[in-house]
Amino acid sequence: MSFPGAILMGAQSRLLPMSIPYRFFLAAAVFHLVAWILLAFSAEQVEGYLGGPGPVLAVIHALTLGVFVTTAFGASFQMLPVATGQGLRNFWPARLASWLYIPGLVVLLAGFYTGEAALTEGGGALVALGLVILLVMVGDLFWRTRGVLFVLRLFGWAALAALVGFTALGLTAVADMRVGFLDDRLVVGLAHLILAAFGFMGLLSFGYSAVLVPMFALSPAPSEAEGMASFALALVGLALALLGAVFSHTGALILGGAVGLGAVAVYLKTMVGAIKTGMRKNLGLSFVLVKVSWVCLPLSLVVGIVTAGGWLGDKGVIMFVYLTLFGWLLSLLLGILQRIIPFLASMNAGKGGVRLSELADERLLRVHAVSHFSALALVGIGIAAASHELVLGGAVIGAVGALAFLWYSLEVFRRLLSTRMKTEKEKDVSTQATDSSGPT
Amino acid sequence: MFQLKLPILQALHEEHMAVLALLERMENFLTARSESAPPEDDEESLADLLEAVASSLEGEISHHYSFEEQELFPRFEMYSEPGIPMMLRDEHDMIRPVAKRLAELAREAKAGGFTAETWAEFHRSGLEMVEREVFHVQKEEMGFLPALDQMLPADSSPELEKIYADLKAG
Repeated sequence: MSFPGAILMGAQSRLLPMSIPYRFFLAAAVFHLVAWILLAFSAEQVEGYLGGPGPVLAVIHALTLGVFVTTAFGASFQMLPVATGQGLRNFWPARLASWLYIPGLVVLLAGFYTGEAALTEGGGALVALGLVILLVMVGDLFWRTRGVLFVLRLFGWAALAALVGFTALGLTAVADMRVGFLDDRLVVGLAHLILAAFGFMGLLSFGYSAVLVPMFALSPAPSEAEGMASFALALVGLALALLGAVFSHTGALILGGAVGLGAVAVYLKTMVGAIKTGMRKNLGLSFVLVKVSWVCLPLSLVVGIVTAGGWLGDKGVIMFVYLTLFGWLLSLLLGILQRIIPFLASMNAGKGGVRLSELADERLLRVHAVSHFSALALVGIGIAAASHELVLGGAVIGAVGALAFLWYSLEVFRRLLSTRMKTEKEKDVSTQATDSSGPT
Repeated sequence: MFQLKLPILQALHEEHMAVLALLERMENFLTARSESAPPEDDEESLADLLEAVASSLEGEISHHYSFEEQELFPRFEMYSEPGIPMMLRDEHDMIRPVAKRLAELAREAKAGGFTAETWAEFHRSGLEMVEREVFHVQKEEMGFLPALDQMLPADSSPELEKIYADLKAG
């Protein structure tokens, strides 16, 4: 089935054991809280940060590996088999990936925070093994898929290539912590950031958006031509930016950012078109987050371009990273996660009687949204004004929002389990009644 | 909008659009008001909404669902897995009584206004209807109809159109 909602139709018959996607989604919600708490503890060190181990590096990776990539694990394992019509060959590698990746990330974050090389190396190795499993499983799904979701697969393959690149560069930087063989860590750091944020997460989010946004808005499948144009521009932009980072070439960095803006323009045109033509107009709070992320995405690129041109100084670098990670990717993924978590729960609840609102407490999402936007604004102003008090205040408010989001996710899971237990009990009672009234 | 090839499926799609538009109108009306405070009888938007709910919601859903259950689900099962029609049929069973009650409440309110109790019930049932039907239409629009459009032979549409017209005519 090659239409956006194939995911809906196949969802019940190809659902994974619910523990698999949920372990990743719940871990993402926990790391989200950890990221804001770590930011609160490192508020004074944000100003002037230009890479290297320490609390700020732990904040960045709690967000990137903790929230973004962990969500990508859950979404890929859950969504791709349904959308492509190709089941996972086995479930155990997905479980193994979680056992390696999630504890590995905790160790890695501890290593980044403390600067302890042994923790960073051990954690980094476990995280890398988890990523290899993701690479093999998702690559295998794309490899077996024929004739459908062409644009998603294009973005997916390129994202997997970026995954290899950012993992290799990340491990190189980790090894350098002890040995110190790199001439210029900043070059590796910038290339790693570009590949991870814009390469892996950016390309994957463009590809998945082409399926998920039309599904939620009830709009037709987006134009393949637009998808391919956006893909081509994104790839050229990424290549130029990478060359610019590796060879410290300002012109290539700026040009890469400008071509990237072109890719974003095409992507946003497609997304806005999907929302405008969608039959469902009330898209709820989740799409407020998604729309804010769509504003932050081009803004981050503009700030990146201006910073590369040397017009914003070191503050520009921090603002670029902040807008990219917190403004764009965090807002986008939280918006999508708050749709996926109750949606999957409803699909997992069994017989079609459970309402999404029975599984989810919307009030917690309102607390989260208000906190998220307040925190985004406060930390952003704090960075611009070099005020660590504002960054601290924003981080605390962000942590309150993250707590509400975690509570929401746990509550959905708890209600799902209780619904399933109730359904099982009813089934048992009805089976017993049938047995006792059967022929004697 | 979805470029469905078969006219009968296009007709069902248009009915979905009409129902969704009505439900969004109802959702906007209800969420702007508290469950504990009935609206004034002379509100123009209320009269229009009640008229639409009373006159079309139950009937549209009833015919539409019956046609799908009698004609389309069995055909879908022939070509694909039975789990999907079973899931959609379960949802029909959940939605039908809500739509019926909502239409009854709308007719009563048209005739004599809302009491505190009937308004609270209308408010709750209306939002339940929106939630259940939107999720259901989402599945049919994004999965069921496009799949059927690929499965059914092109020449099956006229026969299905006639059956549907007869069903609606009673």
